[in-house]
Amino acid sequence: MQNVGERLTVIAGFDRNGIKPMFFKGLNDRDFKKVKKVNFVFALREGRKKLMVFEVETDGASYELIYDQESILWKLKQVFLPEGA
Amino acid sequence: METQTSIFTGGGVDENIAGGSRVIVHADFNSFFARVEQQCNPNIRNRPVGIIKSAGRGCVIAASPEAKRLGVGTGSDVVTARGKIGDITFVPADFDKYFDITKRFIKIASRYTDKLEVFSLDEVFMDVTDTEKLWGNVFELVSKMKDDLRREIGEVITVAAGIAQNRRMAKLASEYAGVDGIFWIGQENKIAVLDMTPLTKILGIGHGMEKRLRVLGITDFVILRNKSIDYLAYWFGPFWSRHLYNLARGIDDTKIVTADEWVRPKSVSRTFTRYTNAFTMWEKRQTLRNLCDEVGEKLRRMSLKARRVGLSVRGKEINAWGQRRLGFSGTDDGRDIFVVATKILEDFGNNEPLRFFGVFVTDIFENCAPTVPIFEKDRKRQEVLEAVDKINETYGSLTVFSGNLVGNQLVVPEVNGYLGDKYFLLKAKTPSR
Repeated sequence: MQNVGERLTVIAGFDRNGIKPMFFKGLNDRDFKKVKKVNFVFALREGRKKLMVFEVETDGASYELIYDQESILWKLKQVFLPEGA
Repeated sequence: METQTSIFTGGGVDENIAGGSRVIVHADFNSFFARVEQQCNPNIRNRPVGIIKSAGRGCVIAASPEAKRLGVGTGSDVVTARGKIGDITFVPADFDKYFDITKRFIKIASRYTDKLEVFSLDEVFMDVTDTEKLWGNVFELVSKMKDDLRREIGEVITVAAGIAQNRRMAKLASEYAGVDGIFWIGQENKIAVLDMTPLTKILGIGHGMEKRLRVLGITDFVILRNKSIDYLAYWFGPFWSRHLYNLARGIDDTKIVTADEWVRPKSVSRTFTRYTNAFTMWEKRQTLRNLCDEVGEKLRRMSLKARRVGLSVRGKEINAWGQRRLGFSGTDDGRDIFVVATKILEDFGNNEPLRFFGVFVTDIFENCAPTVPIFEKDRKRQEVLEAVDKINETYGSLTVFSGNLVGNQLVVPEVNGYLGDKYFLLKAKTPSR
């Protein structure tokens, strides 16, 4: 289980619409999680810093990943676990 | 057949007076906040969802259609909602996310017309009179726009579209459109639709007006339409009589107000309901200072100054508001606003615990030729404010804040659902977010 706020290692691809996370893992994860679907993307600003938020779905749960366009780093913002998990 | 003649003599363009028919679309997101959260998190799709302002808040500010069907809607309290629906999921609102979608939706809608009015966070009016033919007809245009929305924003987020000859009827049409639907009100069905509509469902009749109408035995549009203009003028005066007369006939000549036509706001305000009561004067002053600083920052970003400060507070035993004048030269400094707001608070002469605070400034004017203050302390103050604004603009809101706020839970700037500060958010020179 990832910790909210933890930095992530992400394998991303670029298509016509821009960047798209494909696999990601946290510091303590052994394996990458495959992104099954990107449900939603939106932009945020922290001062002049531009952030992209990706709401992604893996096999087990949904995650909110933040991509900082300035530092080129990925962070985990939230985890949505299915009911009963 | 009812004669469709407007008697409104104001500056707008009425479809009949102009001799041609306008085509107005009102696009309204269905259960906007809840649908966005369902788009983001598939685990809560097709399930009852209540949106709350933030974790720990007790009021539902929006509900998913699934929750609405089971009796939980906007304004329900969390405990009652949980009692009605055991498995309801409460999600804290994320206004940055919603506002980003609004901006994207404005971009999509702008492809179809340049006459676009952003009405609130989840509603736009579009005048497509001149552009509908480019897509065949208005229905094709709306379908195409819905496809764009589905593809570019998400398949769960849907829009109800109302089509009519004027703004009010288009808004009414979207109320009847249902989830992801389209409803058309034309000359042919206008009166029939009005006759099945409760008075308050139409934009322009509030609960206060409904009460006054009810006293006169006017409970629906059929009765209202049968009243003469003289009768209405006797009871409601010259303005409201014309307004009601036209409403009863589905006539409205208000224009679409595009962003270019927005005028600077007449007031700037910030309200906040605390999580806990403010018992001590220190707690009250901290909350006030926080809100006043935000109001001051907004004024500076819009190059405005204000000459009047108002304060509204509420607690279990108190519900008061008041206002005071600042000097003739006005201010855009949160500290000056705070000093006056504190005096108003002291004027209330009440030591009751407070939960709600609202600070507003009025008598606003453009600070178009800022002068250098004569006194050194004022010059220094101006330099400090400029530096603080620059830092906060670069590193985010409240990176630097007043020392009075240390130890207080900071109230951060946020977008509100009615987008009352759209001039600031969408038009001010330096967007803050």
